[in-house]
Amino acid sequence: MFRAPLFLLLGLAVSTAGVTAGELSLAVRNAKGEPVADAVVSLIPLDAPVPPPLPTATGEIAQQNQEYTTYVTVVQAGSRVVFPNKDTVQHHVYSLSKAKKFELPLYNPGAAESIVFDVPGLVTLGCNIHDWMLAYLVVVPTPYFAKSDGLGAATVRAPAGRYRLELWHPRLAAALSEEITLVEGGALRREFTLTLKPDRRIHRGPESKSGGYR
Amino acid sequence: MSLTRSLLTLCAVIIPALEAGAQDWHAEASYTWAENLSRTSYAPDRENGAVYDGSVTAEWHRQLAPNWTMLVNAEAGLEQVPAFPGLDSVHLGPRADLRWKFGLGPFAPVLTFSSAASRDELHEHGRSHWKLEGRVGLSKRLTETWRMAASGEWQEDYARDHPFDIRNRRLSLETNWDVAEGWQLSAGGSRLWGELTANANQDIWGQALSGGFGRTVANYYNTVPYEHSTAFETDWIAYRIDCRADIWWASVSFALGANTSLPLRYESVKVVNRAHVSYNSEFWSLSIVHRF
Repeated sequence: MFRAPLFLLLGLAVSTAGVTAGELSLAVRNAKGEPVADAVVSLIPLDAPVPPPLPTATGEIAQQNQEYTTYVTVVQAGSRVVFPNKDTVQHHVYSLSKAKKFELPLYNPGAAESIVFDVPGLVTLGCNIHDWMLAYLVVVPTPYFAKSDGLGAATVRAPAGRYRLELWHPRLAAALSEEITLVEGGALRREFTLTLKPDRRIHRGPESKSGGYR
Repeated sequence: MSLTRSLLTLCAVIIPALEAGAQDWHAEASYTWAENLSRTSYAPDRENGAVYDGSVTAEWHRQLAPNWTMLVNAEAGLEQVPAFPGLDSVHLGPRADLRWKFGLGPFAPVLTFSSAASRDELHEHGRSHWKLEGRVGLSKRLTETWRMAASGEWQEDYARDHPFDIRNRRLSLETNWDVAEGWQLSAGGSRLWGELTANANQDIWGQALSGGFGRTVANYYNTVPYEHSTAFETDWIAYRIDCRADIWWASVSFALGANTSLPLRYESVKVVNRAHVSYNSEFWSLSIVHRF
């Protein structure tokens, strides 16, 4: 799942050899103090040019058991994302988002098409056959990003300098943004408490055919 | 209904569907408490009872074009009515749905054409029948949590005996609202026109034919097909009525994970026949539905 950041961070370590990196550690919690997974943090350089994505930068969002295998995926703009159908049924992957409108109809089990996402923004993915299938692809204009894990923790390494930190979550009304400075060899720790909207996804449970009129 | 027969019916779907590589399997078991299961107009004679049913459905679906999806399924089920074993039954049959979606996304309206054929074999053989059904439905999701659906249905039962040969059509309106994570409320109403089967104690039936309930009832009841039935009591009559029925229902369903639901449903059926005699029934059912 979530291979892109690993590739990107590995590539970044090579491309920024000789530049001392700073580290940003995030702890993301909800209003009840519980850890929040799937929060996306990205650092956009304010004083330095943004490194382009590596040619090998890819992400993967598969369809399996009539669900997307990852709910939130992050890639740098210009990355390629593969959509393998690992299910036993067809899917019709689509997005109506401004950042990337596309559709993959008649998408048979075993097929795997890929698309380059070159415009930063949020891409909401659906399946036109199975309305409950939902996934988010966050296309960020920087190679410095991470996604919070089940403990609400995320870590981003980036060269020393000033950055605009952006924090996004599917249930956050609007992305949060602030300026931070990473220093050489330094570790910056930030905590975010998010006020999240209720999780209103389309109901998947099977429907009954029994009972009543005969 | 014998256990052997029930198992054979289930195997008639499960084995071929396994061979054919069904993409989805659904299983459902439910308990229904029926008030006036007998559809009897004379209140003191109404028979109530519990109905247990279970079914297995194997499903295949294929997207024919970007907007067209075809869904074919085969269903086998059995129904046990402990108080009235004559109503015990097994059923078996295929269904085909053709769906047209007006565009992309969950908010695009969906038009569905359905047809189904099935064999319902009841312990009281005269009630056994072939059933043909057709349906046109239009559904539209208004928000992530609120969906409306309207449908028109047509049904014909070809039974061994005339009182159970029925034809009717039905218009329905339904709404579903996902009130909270895992909880769904549904409610709907239908108007049915056509024929249904009703039952009466033989004494009451005799009075109806002889004018004990007025000339209108007698004139009408002397024209309808009827026969003796032992499904409810030994000296009862089953007869066919031309009627209009108002049906409404409400249900609350709890999702036990992504593939299992536990719906509790209430349904009220008010039937009025051509002679203005009414039959009111109510059903409470609790089901468990699982998608494999």
